[in-house]
Amino acid sequence: MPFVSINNVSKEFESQKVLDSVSLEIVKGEFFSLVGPSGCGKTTLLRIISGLETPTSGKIILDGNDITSIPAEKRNIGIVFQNYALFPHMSVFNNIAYGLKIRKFDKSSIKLKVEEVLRKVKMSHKQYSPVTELSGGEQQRVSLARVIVNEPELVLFDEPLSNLDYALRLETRKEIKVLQQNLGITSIYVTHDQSEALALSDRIAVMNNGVIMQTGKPEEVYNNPVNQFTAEFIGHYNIFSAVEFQHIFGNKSNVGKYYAVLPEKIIPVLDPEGLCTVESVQFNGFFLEVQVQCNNTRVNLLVTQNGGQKLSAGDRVHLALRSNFDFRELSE
Amino acid sequence: MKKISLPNLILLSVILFFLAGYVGYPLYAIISESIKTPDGISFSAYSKIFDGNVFVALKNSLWLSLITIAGSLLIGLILSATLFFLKIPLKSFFSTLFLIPIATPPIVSVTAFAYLLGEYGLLTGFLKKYFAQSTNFAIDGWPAIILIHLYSFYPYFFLFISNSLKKLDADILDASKILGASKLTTFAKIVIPHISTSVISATIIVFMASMASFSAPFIFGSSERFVTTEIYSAKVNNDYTLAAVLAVMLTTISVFFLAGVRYFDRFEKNYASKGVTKVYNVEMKKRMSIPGFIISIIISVFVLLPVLALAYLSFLPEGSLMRDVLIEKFTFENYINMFTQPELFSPFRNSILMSLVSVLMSLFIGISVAVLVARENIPGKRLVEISSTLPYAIPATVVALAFIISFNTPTIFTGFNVLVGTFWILPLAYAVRNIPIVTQSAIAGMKLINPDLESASRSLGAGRLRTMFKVTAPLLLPTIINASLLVFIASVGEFVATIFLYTYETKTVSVEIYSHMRLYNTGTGASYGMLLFFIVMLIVYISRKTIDRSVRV
Ligand SMILES: Nc1ncnc2c1ncn2[C@@H]1O[C@H](COP(=O)(O)OP(=O)(O)OP(=O)(O)O)[C@@H](O)[C@H]1O
Ligand SMILES: [Mg+2]
Repeated sequence: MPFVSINNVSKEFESQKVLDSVSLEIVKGEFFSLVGPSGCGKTTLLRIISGLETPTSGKIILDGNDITSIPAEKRNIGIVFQNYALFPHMSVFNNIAYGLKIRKFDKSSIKLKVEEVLRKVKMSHKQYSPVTELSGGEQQRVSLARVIVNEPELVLFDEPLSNLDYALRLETRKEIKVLQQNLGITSIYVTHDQSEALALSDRIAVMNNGVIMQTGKPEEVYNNPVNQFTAEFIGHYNIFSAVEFQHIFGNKSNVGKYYAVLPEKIIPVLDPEGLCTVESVQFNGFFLEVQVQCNNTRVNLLVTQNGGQKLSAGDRVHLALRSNFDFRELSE
Repeated sequence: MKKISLPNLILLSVILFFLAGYVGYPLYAIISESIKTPDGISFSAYSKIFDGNVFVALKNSLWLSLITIAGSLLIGLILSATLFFLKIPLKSFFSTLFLIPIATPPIVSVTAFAYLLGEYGLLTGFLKKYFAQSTNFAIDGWPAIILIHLYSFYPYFFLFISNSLKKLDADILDASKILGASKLTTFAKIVIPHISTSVISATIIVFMASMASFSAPFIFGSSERFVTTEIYSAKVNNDYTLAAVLAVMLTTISVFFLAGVRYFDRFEKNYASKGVTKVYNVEMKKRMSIPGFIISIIISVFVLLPVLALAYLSFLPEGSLMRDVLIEKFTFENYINMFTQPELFSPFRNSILMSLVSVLMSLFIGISVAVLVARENIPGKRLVEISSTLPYAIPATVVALAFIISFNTPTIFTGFNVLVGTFWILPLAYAVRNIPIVTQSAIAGMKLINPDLESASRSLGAGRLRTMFKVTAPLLLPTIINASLLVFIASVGEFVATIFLYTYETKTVSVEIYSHMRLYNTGTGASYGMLLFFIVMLIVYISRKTIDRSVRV
């Protein structure tokens, strides 16, 4: 039985439809990610799950109970906000103790709990600092501690790492994952960074314009996208129409309307008679990012450095698939 | 020793000469007046503070300020919270309307209240006629003064708290809710601490303004003593020593609190959190709040009634309050007279001219100080900054008294002329009071301009002057326009210093309103009041437009 089910949730703001019959099921202890471009309704969905917004229609079921009409303050669902949302006039300790005080724990158990959670997020040394004096990464840990100290049934993360720089983002996301696994907290994690979602999640849902496009395990969604949007957003697939696909790869299959091929699954072969021209070659550390133009179709490739021939702009090539099965047929 | 260039040195000397002559010297003169006795220097006059009358005046002024603060805080808090958290129609209309009293010249508000609720007031007469013949609804003394103070001062709390609420990060409220807090808990634990610094700042400002308030006690407090009105009566009785003692006492209190404002302003800066998410609304309820709407309507009526009374009377023949206002005919006579009769027009011309002169003077000093303080590293920077902020803490009564004491003899600062009795003493007094406004906004404006822009211009080959005129000045222009408009508003309706310093030839609109009101010449008084009100509102409108424009750029 799912721990959280979101049943046909729709939301309109002044007649603008932001969520359109969203349904999802999340298992207890799962780390579930919602990915999608900016403005697609991710935050709105989280706010509805937490009770900060009410859906126009649809239901939220938590552990078998319909909580759609329960106010946010009674739900015991935690949120880690993008901008941390720490209370600026309180110390680290008081921020974390806030929820416990409201739940009327006595002083000594509050102290114990806060100290324990601070150890978990490695912030014990900053217990009495004002939160305004913490760095971004430290603020995010306090924000996480403030949520998990209440032992919520469900934790919602709204792009928690997007204000951190790249290195810190990688480090913090590992820590979040470890903590989540150790505590076994059911989590819904929102991000528009697909690599973050792929790296962290047990399952992901891809969202666009308020509609769920595809749900599944990261490798499933990455390897078998079912529509153009997912293919492009998650894997940066190249999308070809049936005609283009036959023209470039000479493949005779004609089941799909569209064909999607991952950039790393295409091999460029130097060929003076080739159909395509190399437009640019960029070195990004591990791969070469190559752009080629085949008649009027632009194709992106990722080529390993020691992948044989040296390419440079202006070279003529033809393209081949790494293996005969390295394409996906899409009906839409 | 810091080095200073020749142009800066000249500018600095001019500023120092002005500040020494028109801030430093008058302060010195008033202090020395208070300790001068026939047998040398002595503080004996200060023992009068504990004298019956003076002590009563001090006690009354303090009580008045405390009551004003408590009442205005309550109104300001309720209104700002209502407009911020509740869903009510016409929100932006209300939020503009609630600020009207802050811009209305005090003499206009006081006169309007007199015409509304005074002995022969419109509302007084109406209530008497239709409700109870025998009861007297006219207000006077303490209730009248308190009512007018609430009217004039709640907008400070409303403004400060509203601005502070706008900086409240909506996610923080959500975070509190998510952690289990009820609305009340969130309000007590998150909202109140968030607005506390601005409440403290507003409290200090209102305290200073209320202690220095003159018009309301002067007109409605005939039988009560307040510090400011005591200064005036001492001056009228030629007891300059007593007047000086009171002035020094009032100024000391005020300076002390000004230091407080500056301290809390500094505190505010470390406080704001950096919100990044877009805020749609923080209205806590989805449905319209009826009580919130009713409160807004009541306050709107409170704000508008005095102005409406003024407007109504301005269209009735002279002196109609003494007769039955309902049978009088509407007329434009008062407005026509104002512009056609020379003796009625001259106060208007005086007010406009004096305000323009005071704008020019305070702009020159204020901007020069800002340029020197914000960009250049000159010796005596702190001294210049402090002495140009100080006048903010000197009540108008004190400035006026100090000017009379200082400039009734020739001084080097006045080119060896006697200023008392001339046209110039009035705009000078207005300018001195307003230098802090210009200085502070120009410094703030300069700080907003990225110094890199100036460096960029210099590095592109533009000279100092060219950079000043092509880069700095245009960027600073909206700030300067705005500060000029504020100074103009404050000067054009100025009553307090004026009543000390005017002569028959230099009468201003405010004095004219006052004397007509005293004579129950409601037509002229009201039409002049409306004229001032319209000038001020027009300027506020223009200045809002400039702010909008400058924000868009
Ligand atoms: N309270 C509201 N009132 C009106 N429109 C809203 C409101 N909240 C969200 N929207 C609109 O709903 C749409 C979805 O917003 P939402 O914040 O859920 O997107 P998001 O996927 O979280 O985007 P991002 O990645 O930029 O955070 C946007 O078009 C937004 O403008
Ligand atoms: Mg969002």
